[in-house]
Parts: sequence; C-alpha cells; structure tokens
Amino acid sequence: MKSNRPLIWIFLLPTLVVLIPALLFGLAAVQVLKERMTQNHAIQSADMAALLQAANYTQSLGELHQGVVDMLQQADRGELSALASYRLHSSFVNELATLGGQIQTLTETPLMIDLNHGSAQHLREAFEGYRRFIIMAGDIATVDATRARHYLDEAQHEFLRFSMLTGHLSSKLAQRSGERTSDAYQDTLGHFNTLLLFGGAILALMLVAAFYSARILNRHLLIIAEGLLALSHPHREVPELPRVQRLAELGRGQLQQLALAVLRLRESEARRLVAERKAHQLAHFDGLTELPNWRMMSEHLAHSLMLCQRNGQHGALIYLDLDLFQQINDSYGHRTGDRLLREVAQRLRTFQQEGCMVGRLGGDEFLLIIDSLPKQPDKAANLAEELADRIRIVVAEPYSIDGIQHFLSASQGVAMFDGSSDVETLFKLADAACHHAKVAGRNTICFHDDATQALMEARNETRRDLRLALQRGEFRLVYQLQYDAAHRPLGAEALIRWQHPSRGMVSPAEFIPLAEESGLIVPLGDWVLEQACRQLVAWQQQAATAHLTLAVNVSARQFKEPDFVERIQRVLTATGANPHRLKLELTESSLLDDVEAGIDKMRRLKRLGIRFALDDFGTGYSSLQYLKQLPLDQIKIDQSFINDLLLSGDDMAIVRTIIAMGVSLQLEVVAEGVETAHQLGWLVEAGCHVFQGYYFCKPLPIDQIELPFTSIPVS
Amino acid sequence: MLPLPTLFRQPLPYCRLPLACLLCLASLFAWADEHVAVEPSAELLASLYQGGYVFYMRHGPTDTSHPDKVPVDFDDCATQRPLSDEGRELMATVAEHMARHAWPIEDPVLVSPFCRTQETARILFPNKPQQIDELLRYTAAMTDDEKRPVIEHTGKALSLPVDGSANRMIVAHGPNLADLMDYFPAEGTLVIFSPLGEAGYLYRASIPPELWPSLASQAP
Repeated sequence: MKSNRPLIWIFLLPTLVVLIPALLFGLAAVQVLKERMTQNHAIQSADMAALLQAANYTQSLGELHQGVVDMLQQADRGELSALASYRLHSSFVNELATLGGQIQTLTETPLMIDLNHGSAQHLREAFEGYRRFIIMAGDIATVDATRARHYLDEAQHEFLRFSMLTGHLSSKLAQRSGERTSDAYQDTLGHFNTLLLFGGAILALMLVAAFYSARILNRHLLIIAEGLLALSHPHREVPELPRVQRLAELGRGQLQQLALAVLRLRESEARRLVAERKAHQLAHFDGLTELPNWRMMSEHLAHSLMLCQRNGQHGALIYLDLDLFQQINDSYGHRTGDRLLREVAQRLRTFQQEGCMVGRLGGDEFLLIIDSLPKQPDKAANLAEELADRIRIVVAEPYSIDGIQHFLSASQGVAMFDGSSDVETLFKLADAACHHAKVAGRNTICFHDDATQALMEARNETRRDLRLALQRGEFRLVYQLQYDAAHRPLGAEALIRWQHPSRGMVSPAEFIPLAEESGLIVPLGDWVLEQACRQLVAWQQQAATAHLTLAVNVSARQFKEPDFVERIQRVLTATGANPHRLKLELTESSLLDDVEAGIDKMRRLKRLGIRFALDDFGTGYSSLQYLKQLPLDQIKIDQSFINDLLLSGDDMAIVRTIIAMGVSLQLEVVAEGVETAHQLGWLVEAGCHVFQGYYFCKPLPIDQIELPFTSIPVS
Repeated sequence: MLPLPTLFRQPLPYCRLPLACLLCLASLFAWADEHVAVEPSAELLASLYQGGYVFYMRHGPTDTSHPDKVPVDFDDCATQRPLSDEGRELMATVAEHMARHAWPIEDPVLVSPFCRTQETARILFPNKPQQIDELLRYTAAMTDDEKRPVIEHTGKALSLPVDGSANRMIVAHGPNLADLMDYFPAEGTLVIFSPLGEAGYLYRASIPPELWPSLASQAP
C-alpha cells in the first residue's frame, strides 16, 4: 500500500489525543505552581527580610541607645571633652539618619504596608520623636556636660517607650508574616486544587475523546476486517460491502487507502467469479441445450449417492436415448436435429420442478437423476417407473419444426441406486438398461438387472472384436437355397457368419446391429456383396448352375450410402457377375426414411438388371402406399409368420393375405423358415412361389452345397 | 621668620616639620587628636592691625536648659538655644575689649542664621552690618553628609584671602570648627586664622573670653 503517512499514526492517535494535552496541561500546571511558589517565596523572603530588618533595627537602636547613655554618663562624670562629646554626638546623628533610612525601608516593605499605614506612620513619628530627643540630648551634653544627667532618665524613658512600640510592632509583623505565609500556603493549595480539578476534568475529557477516537478507528478497522472476511469466505456472489464503500468515499488517509484496497480486491474477486462461472458453465453445461453435461451430472450423482448413504433413501438414474434420431438428423439436417434436441431438452427441463436433475450426455442421449426416493426399494422403483413413463409420454408428443411434424420416442434405462453404488457402475448399468430397452422394441422403459448387465458387457466385447474381424478374415458366407413348389432350386440367399476365434460362431442377430451402430456395416456389406458376386460368377461358368440367382442382404445403413449404386456397379464390374442373377434384399426400415431417394436408387440398379426383394415383410409398419411405388420383384414373408402358421389362425390369414397381395401386385412371394412338409403344402396351396427353410436345407458353406444339376431354370 | 605662605609653596622635603605640625586641615585629619589652642603672641596681636586675618567667633555662653528644637526654625528664636543672660554680659565685656584693641574689621560681619550668633554679633559690633550666611549654620544636629557643604563653606571662608587692610569677622558655632579641624572652642572664644587661599588657612591663636583682660595691656 502506498501512503505518505505511516499507519502507526492511526493507532497512536488516541494515545496522543490523551498524552499531548495531558503533557501540555501538566507543564502549564507545573509552571503555574512554580510561579505561584516563586511568588510566595518572594513574599516570604521579603517578609523574612522585613522581620530581619526590624530585628536588626531594634538591635542597632539598642546599641545606639546604649552609646547615648554611655556618652551622657561619661559627660556627666566629666570624662569627655567637648570635642569627644561632639564626635560621639555626630556619630549618633549619623546612626540615627541610618536608622531613619532603615525605618523608611521597613515601612515601605509589603509586610508593613500590608499591616496597615497607621502603624508605619506611628513608627515613623515615634522614631522621629526619639531622634529629636537624642539629637537634642547629645547636643546639650556636648555644649554643657553638666546638663547630661538631666537627660539620662528622660532618654531611658524615651527609649523604653519607643522600644515597646517597636517590640509590639515586631510582634505584629511576625504575626502578620505568619498570616501571610498561611495565606500564601492556602492560596497555593487553592491553586493546586483548582489545577488538580481542572487536570482531572481535562484528563477525563481527553480519555472520553480518545475512547471515542479509538472506537471510531476500531469500527472502521472492523468494517475493513469484515469486508476482507466476507471476501475470504467461499461465495457465489461477491458481497456488496456498502460500509466499506462508504468508508472509501468519506474516509481519509490510511483508512481510505485500506477501504479502496478492499474494494479493489472485491472487484478482482468479482471478475474472478465471473470467469469462474463462465469456466464452470463451459465445463459443466452442454452448449446446445444448456443442460448440465456429463461431468456435472456425474458430480451431481456423486452428491446424490452421498446423500443416499447418509439418509438411507433411494435414487434413480435414467439413461434416455432418442429412438432413431440419427435418421432425422440424416434426413432433415443437423439444424433440425439440433432444434429437436433443444425442444426435447426443454420438455425434459419441466421435470426439474419435481426435483429431477436433467442433463445431456451428447448426441441424442440424456440423463436424469432423481433424488429422495423412499427407503423401500419397491416403492422407490415404482415412483421412478411412474416418472419415466411420464417422460416417455412427454417426449412422444409431436414436434413442429418449420411446419413439419416430427415424431420421436425414447428408450429409457433406469438404474436404481442407494448409498452403496458408485458413479461409474451406475452409468454403465443405466446405459445397459437403455440398450436393453432399445432391443426390446424402443419407446420402452427398462430397469437394470444382472442379465442386462451381462449382455451389455458381452455386447461391448463384441463391438471391440468386430472391428478386427474383417481384417482377420473371420467372416464367412453361408448359402441357403431357395426352391420352387416343385422342389427345384432357383437360387440361394447369402448369409454372413462370423467365426469368432474364441466364441465360435456368432449370430448375425448379435453382431449386425453392432456393425450398423459402428458403421462397420458398410465395408462389411461391400465384402459380402463381392463374395456373393464371385460365387455368382462361379455358378455362371457351369451350365447347371448358370441360372441360379443369389440374394444378398443390404442393411439400411448400407443402402443409405449416397454412392450405394456406384458401389454395386463397381463390384459387378470387378467380378464380372451377371446383374440379372443378383438380388438385393432390403428391409422396410431401409426404405422408409427417405422413400424417394430409395426408389431412385432401386430404379437405377434395376436398369442394370438387378432385382429387389423386401425382407421380413409384415414385421414393420409396412405402408401399402409405399409398397405400390417400390420397384420390387419379391416380398419375403417373415419366418415368424411361417413358424406359427399351422398353429395360429391369425397367422394363416396374414400369410394368405400377403400372398394374395403379392400376386395381385405381380410380385413373387417367398416364404422363409419353411421347416415341414405341412407348411410347404399349405403354402403351395396358398399360391406362394418360392420357399426357403430347413425343410429343404440349412444355410451351408458353398463347398457343402450339393446342387441337383437336373434342375430346370425358372422362367 | 619667613612669611608662612612662602613656606607652603615650597616642596614637602624642604618643609620645616615643627611648623607643619601646626597645620590642621580638617578634611585631611578627620579623627585626629584634639587641636591644641594657643594664646596669641604680642607680635600676632600687633600684626592684627594691618588686617588680612580671619576672626572666627563662637557665640557667647547659652542657656542649656533651652536646647535647640529638632529641627530649628531660623525665624523663631524660641526654637533655638538662646544666649544666657550671663552670656550676654560676658559678650558685652568681650565687645568692650575688642573695641579697645580696635582691630580693623571688614564689613559686613558674616553671621550664622541662628539667633544666638546674630545676637552675639550685635553685642560685639552693634554698628556693623551683618550678613546672614546659611552655610555657616550650626552643624551639631546634622549628619556627615548634611554637614559637608557647611564645613567646606566654612573652610573657604577661612581660606579666602582678605582684601585691604581689615580682618574678616565670622560669628558662628563651635561644632563647625570641631568638624573642620577637631577644635571645639569654648563659647565666646575668638579664633584667629591666616587665610592661605588655595592652600587653605592657618590657625594662629585663640582668645577665650577670660583671656581678654590679660591682653588689655597690649591695646593701644
């Protein structure tokens, strides 16, 4: 801190407020007392001098008188010559003059004046009388010694009279002097008491002033200290510190400097908080939806876990994944996708009012944390399910973006937790449950259980291995022959198999969705197509098999590739396979997302001679409107219908209807999963054209297929 | 005998000690031994006729039962010690003797302002004018400081050379001479001085009242 005055003065001020006036007063008091005492001393000295003078005078007078008496006696006895007498007489006159001067001085002393003027006058007159008498007596004794005797008695008498007067006067002087000393003492004492009183009063006044000064100082320092304390406490908002501000405006010197420093500190703290908040926002919130991000949710979850551990309550973590959102993104662009995500976030946000923490993990995945569920596990789970169901309904309501209505659904995985869980595991569990929900058919809520967990782990492992499988050449193609009603082979469907090095054969139902999810389906599809085309070429080189067609499954993802047509062309060119013998099997989902583009691709391929089959017919939301538009050649009745064909009247009706529809649309109808002669007989009777299933043969590697070379190609 | 003034003008080593002892300067010998009075010689008496001397007469005997009041009033003789009747008679006798010698006396007679000196002067010289000189006043009631101007003046009156062929006549008091030269003449005594100007004065002789009859033979 820069300052001109050292801070020490601020602390010294109250002390100085007392000390300096007290010191000044003390000096003044001592001075006054000293003067007073000096004055008293002077008076007393003068009085003493006056008393001494009076004593000396009395003594001198006595001596003089003795001299006069001696002279008179000697003169009387005739022992003195006139001259000697005269000399004595002259000396008496001189001494009398001296004594007269002393008398005058004495009468002029303050003590004498103080005694009273009458006394001095009386003394002077008495002395004058005595003097005259002595001069006269001495004079006469000089002139006529015989007369000396005559004056002796008188002189004695005069002297007695005068010395009585002086004695009386001396006593009065002494008395008066005593009184004056006493007066002076009383006076000094009075002064001393006054000073004492004054000093006490001033000291008390100064103490009060110092106390107030110290109190004010203390208050100001307290304000500053409180300000610093307030700033030092952890806080969300910077404290306002109005008192420190007032001090900075009204204060002076050091205190103002201090206050300003505290305010500067507050400003920097405010800036720091803003920056921190911004950083926190960036670190803890999702930029698109402004919902908390994964990091913040995991922090919150950790907090929730701690609460549960403390109070024994339950909580729930919901992992929400929008179904088929990728399709919307692909179809309508990311702008629409983002707006939808924001809308979903907005809808989810309404659940915050119910004590539900909502966050976004990224993509189309959201997280919800519900605290304070009951201690009983079943009640807690019921409440969580109830909430998840309401979320499902809210998400499923239509969205209107730029006048277009969109429909979304959400798969939710719920993981219940108590104090014993940990964040990492909970996320995994909820994710697994969500996946389970997806597998179970979307728009569904699944609770986590151990089976789901195991499945999830296996799935993750599979996902890992899948990436390597293509490079390692672990995929195989197997072929299942397709027959006509007369048991003649018409062709085959190429089916992919994964020969896992440790797990053995892995079902396509398990790895195909993972391949689709990871995008691996595209290269895998290319590989399948190429293998199939090579097989076609092989068949073409023998007359007995040259008529056989080969059906290849195309995944939705694969079909949606913009260069799908070109890829096919490339493979055909590369292998030299006959496009007329190639059949691509599509699912409804491949087409529904963008029907127009799909139709376009199909037409272009058809021009090459390639034929199309609609796989798994009857399981999707098949739109007959679309079915009419699609340039299809075949529809394949899903094997689930065939399996229960002879057990369920409904299935029979459905299959019969499909066959009738196919016939009327001039489409070949293929029945999959034919396993018994009865099924075959019923299907043949119903008018189905092509059959595939274990009744004929199971899917086999190409080298194990025994083709009846007597077969006649289907026209 | 060498003229005395000449003697005084010579340097001290040549002074004749016996003569020097006679010199009595009051200012120089304040408490010296009492002055010894001498009677006048016939030669002195004879030379008085030529004038040039100073006669200092103490007033006549007084009535000591009436002492001077302190202070005296010059205008009120009742405040002063007066001449006694015997004193007046004695002074009248002295006056007769002096008249018989008929020494020339300068006019006026210098007189102290006291009544007793004025009366004395009147008795001695009823026809001569008197000049009252306050600085010839009685010094007995005065302090040393007060006396000083009186004594100095008296000394001058004794030292100042006399013009012409007469003698200076002063009628004053005894204490004044006592102060001046430690000589306290009796009342009515005539003291004769030779004035020496700057050098002072020279005591020549004293004629107390009772001496006058013995000198009558030397009168003309």
